[in-house]
Amino acid sequence: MSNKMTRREFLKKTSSAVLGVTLAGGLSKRAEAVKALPAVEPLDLPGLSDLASETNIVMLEDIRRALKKPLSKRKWTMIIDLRKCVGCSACSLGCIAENKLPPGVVYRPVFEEEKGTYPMVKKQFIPRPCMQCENPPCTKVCPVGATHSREDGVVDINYNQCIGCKLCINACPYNARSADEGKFYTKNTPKLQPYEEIEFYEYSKVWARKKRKSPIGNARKCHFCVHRLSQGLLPACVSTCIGRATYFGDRSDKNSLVARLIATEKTKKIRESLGTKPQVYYIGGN
Amino acid sequence: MNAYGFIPPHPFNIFIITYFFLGGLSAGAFLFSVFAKYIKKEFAPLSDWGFLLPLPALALGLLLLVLDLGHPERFYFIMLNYRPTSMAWWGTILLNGFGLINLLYVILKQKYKLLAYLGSLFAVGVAFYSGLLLYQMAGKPLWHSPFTVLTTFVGALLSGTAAVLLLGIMNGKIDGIKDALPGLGKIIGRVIILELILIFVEVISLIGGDVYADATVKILLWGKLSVYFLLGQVILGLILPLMICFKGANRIKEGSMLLVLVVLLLIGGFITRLVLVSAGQGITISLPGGLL
Repeated sequence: MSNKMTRREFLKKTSSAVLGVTLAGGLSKRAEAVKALPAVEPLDLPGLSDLASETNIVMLEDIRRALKKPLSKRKWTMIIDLRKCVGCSACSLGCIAENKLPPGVVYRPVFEEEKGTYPMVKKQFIPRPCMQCENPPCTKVCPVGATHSREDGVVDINYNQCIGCKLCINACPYNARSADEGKFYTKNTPKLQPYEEIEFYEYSKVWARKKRKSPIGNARKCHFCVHRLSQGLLPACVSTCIGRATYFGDRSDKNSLVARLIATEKTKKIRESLGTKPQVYYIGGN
Repeated sequence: MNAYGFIPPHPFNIFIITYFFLGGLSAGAFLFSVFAKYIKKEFAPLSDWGFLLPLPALALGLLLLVLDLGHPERFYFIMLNYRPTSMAWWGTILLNGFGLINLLYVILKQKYKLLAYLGSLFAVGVAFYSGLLLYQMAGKPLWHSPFTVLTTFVGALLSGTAAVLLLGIMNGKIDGIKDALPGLGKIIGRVIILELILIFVEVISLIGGDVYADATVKILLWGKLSVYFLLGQVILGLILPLMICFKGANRIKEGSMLLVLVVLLLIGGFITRLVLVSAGQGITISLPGGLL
C-alpha cells in the first residue's frame, strides 16, 4: 500500500483540518463570550463607542444613572416627537409582544388623524401610551385601592387586588385603560397557541393568562415597562420605534435626554386642562 | 381616528345601567313612601307596600353589579378597604346602610318615624349616588356636570314614585285614594318640569365647550342616541307624562290613565340612565381632535 496521498485524500484532510480549526476557534470565542457576558456591562461592549450619540444608547445611559438613585428621586418621563412618527405601529406591536396582550387590549395605540382641508392635507400619527399622570383620576375612583402612583410616578395596578369594576377605565380621560375580558386570538382555532398563555412580566411580577385568573378580568394599562426599566432596559415601545420618535428617561436628571428636550423644545401634553399632570410630553403636532 | 387594535372602551354595560336605574328607583320609592306616610297622609295607603319595594330592587341591582365585576368573587374587597376618594366606596356604604335601615324599618312593622327619616337621609344619598359616581369622571363632559347629578336625583324620585304607584295599582291600594290622585299628578308634573329644565340646562351648558362636549351634544341631538334621548327620554318619559299630569289630571283617577303614566315614567327613567351612561362613555379619545 502506498504512503502517497491521492489528490482527493489531500483535499479531504486539508478541508477537515481548516474546518476543525475554524470551528474550534469559533466555539472557544463563543464560550468566552458566554462566560464574559455577566461581567461586561452592556454599554461598555466594544464597537458601541461609535454609537455613543445614538439616542437609544444615550437613553440607556440615562436609565442606568437613574437606577442608581432611590425610587422616589426618579421621574420617568416619555416624550413623543410627532414630527418623526411615521405611523408604523411598531411600538404598538412591540408592546403587544412584550406584554402578551390579548385582543381588545392595546397599551399604546397609534392614532391616525387627517389634518387640513383638500388639497392641503396631511396625516398625523399620535401614539398614546398611559400618561402616568401625577394627579391620576383613575386611582381616585378605585374602590379597593388596587391602583396607585408609585414613588417614581408610574401608575401601577395590583392585579390580585383589582375586582374588575371598570371604574378606572371610564375615569381615564385618555382611554388608556382597557378590560382584559379573557379573549384569545386563537380561541376559535383547533388549538389555543402557547404564545397566548406564556408567562410575561408586568409590575416586576410574573403573570400568565389563565382562565378566571388575574390579569384576566382586570383593568390593564401601559406601565412604562417597569420590569424592563428595573433591568436597565428601555420600554419596549421605545426600543422598537423605527423613527426614534420616542424618548424616555428620568426628567429629574438635568443631563438626561428627556430633561434637555423639555428645556429646549416646545412641548405639549394632552388634555392638560383637566389637571391630570401627564408625564408624557409631545413635540410637534397641531 | 383609527388605531391598530384600539377598541373605544364602553365598560358600563346593561348590567350597570340597570343597577343605576334600580338603585335610584329604590331610593325614590322609599322617599315617596316616607312622603306619603308622614307628610301627605292622603297617599298613606301606598306607603305600606312602597316600603317593601326598595329591598328587592336594591338586591337585584347589587346582584347585577357583582355579576358584572371582572372578579365577582372579590366583591367584598370594597368593604375591607377605606377609600374615601372613591365615590363607589361611599356608594357601598350608602347602599348597605340604606338597605339595612329599610330592612329594620320593615321588620319593626314600619312604626318608627325616626328610622324612616334616617332611612330618608341614606335614600337621598343613594338617589344622588349614580350621578356623583359619574361626576368623578372628569374627562366626560356629560357626566362631569352638576346638572347631571341633579337630573339623576330627580329621575330617581320619578322612577321610585312611579314604581310605588304601579305596585298600588297592582294590589288595589290605589282605589282608596282616587280623589287624591289628580293632586298627586300635579306634584309629579312639577317634578317633571324640574327634570325638563335640568336636562335643557345640561345640554345648553355643553354647547360651545371643548371637542368632547361638542361631540356629546351631537350624539344626543342628532347622533346615534338621539332617538333614545329625544323620543325615549324627553318625549316618552317626560313630555307625555307631563301632559297626562296636567291635561288629563281628572282622567288619572281612571286606573288605565294612571297605569299609562307610571309605565311611561318607568320606561323614561330607564332610558334616561341608558342615554346618560351610553352618551357619556361614547365620547372617547379617538374622536377627531380629541388628542391634540
